[in-house]
Amino acid sequence: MRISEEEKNKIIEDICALHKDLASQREELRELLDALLLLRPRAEISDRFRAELRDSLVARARELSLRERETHHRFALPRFNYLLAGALASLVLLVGAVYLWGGEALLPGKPSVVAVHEKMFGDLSSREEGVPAGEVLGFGGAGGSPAISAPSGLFVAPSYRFEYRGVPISVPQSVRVLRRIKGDYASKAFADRLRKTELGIFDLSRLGNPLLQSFSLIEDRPYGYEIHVNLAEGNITINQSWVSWQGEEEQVGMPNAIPEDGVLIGVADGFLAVYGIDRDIYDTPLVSHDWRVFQNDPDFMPDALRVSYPAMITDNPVFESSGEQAGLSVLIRLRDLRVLSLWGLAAQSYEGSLYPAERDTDRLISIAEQGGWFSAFPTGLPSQRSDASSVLYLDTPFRGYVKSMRDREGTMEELLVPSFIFPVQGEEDGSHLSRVIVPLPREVLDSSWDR
Amino acid sequence: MTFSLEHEQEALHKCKAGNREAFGALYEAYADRIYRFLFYRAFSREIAEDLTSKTFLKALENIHSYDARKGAFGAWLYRIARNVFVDHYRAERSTVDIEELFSLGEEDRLSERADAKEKLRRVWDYLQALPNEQRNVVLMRVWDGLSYREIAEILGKSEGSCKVMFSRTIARIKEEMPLALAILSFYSFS
Repeated sequence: MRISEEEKNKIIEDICALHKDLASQREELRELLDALLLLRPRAEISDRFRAELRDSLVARARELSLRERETHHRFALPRFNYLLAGALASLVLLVGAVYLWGGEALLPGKPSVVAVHEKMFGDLSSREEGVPAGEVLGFGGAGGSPAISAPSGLFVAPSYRFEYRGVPISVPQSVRVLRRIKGDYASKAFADRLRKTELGIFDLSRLGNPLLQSFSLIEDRPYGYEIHVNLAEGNITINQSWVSWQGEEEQVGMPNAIPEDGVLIGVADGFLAVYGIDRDIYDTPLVSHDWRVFQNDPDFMPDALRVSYPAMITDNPVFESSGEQAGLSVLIRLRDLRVLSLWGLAAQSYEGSLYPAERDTDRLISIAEQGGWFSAFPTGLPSQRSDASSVLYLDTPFRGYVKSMRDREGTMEELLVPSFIFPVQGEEDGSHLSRVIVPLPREVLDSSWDR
Repeated sequence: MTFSLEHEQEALHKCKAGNREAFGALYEAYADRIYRFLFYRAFSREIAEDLTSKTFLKALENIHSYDARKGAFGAWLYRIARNVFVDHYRAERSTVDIEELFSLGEEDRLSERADAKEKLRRVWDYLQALPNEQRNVVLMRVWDGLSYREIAEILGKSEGSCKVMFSRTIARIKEEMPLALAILSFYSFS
């Protein structure tokens, strides 16, 4: 940072105004200022330090905010002494607080990522000495910090091979792995509210540090729904309430024809609007026709179809570990276009931590040509793909995330692993067979594939 | 995007309302300045980084105690930085060797000229010999580029007294070191 001539002049004039005898020595004063400036060290804050400190401050800020809200809410509610008043208040608060609590959502739907320190989520490989790649602990299991690795054992080997036909690719030095922040705070806050309720036969206020894990609400009306809120996991599912749908199954019968995709999406959009679910945070909805892959009977007609709203985090699509696009799903009964259920509605707050990426693009392409995250595909593929000699061509990849669950010290963590998504040429049906996924963090690759 | 006073007030309002995540914007706006302020006094990247971290962490944790009626947020932050620095150096050295300073200087070409170095050494020695407060005012005005008003808020003095102190100190240096500056004038400074 240099001081401007204007600023120097201002300093000199200030001095001269106070010391009239120096008015004729402006040049000497300027030289003195120059000398002082010459002695000033060069001080440039490093980008790395700047980013690291920012991460630390954001993490600390979040911690302080949560603590403050918790303290505030604990003392904010007056004590109700009447059973009815208590029950009503609790119900209103429980429902309302899911969406808004002091102006902020307890289970935020809008995706947000808080940057934390590098490699904050521990070693992603934790591969023991002597254990070959592909045999490390992948999902669940005990001991330390289990690795994230390619799923195994569920699939059989593919009877075709992949060949890369895209343009040369490049990879950044590091990529940000995301960890979903679950609803621990909501769980505590809800429980604090509930313990103030006079149940009559049990004194909830006597509970020590209670946490509300989940609760359900049922709409008491024809074709009502049961809403299940899992605070510990930070997600909500909606299902038809069997009590209010009872006896109507026989009257519905079978569908005559499969409605247009636009009709189904319209029904799903309407359902989301009724329940105040923000659809704008998702990518363009699409109707899943995966059933066609597995069903060879030309007369088969599904009872219901799923409309998917693909999840997007920081403008990148998210995929399940199965390879399917992740997001919100709405299942619609075709006969009368009623929504049967909704799932995948989850709080979207994440912590993001940088991990070294695999920059050897030959290795990435080689892994993609071996089938990527999946070493194999399910049986029962379309007949044209069962020819051992068939080749599927992979296009230039784009960036996305792949969900991976891991057991860390007894707690299931949901990680989003930055990955390359290689589209399979000519397979644009949106199914999990239309892409090959290759994770980018080097540790994850090393857990599953030998160098 | 420039960080206006309005942005600053909005971020402060959010922080004080319990949304401390808004502190990120304040950090982005002041990180460079606070780091430089500390580096100019510590002359070490490592220490400056450590003290910058402490400064912002203290500010974040005590943001509720900031009172806009008592002065600008920037001045409050500088005051924390100054206190953090003073705490750190309370039992440490208070002077810096000129050679060390040359190695950190903005004008590399000058450090190669022995005659200029000698004259700068005299200016520096003179600065070092000044009472802390006077030296601080000079460095804040010239190195940190702070206004008298900001300096006054940081030091808890009146704007007028800071201006007088700075002018007197510069006048004294000029009076007592005329020869030292003569050679420096051969160089064109920007």
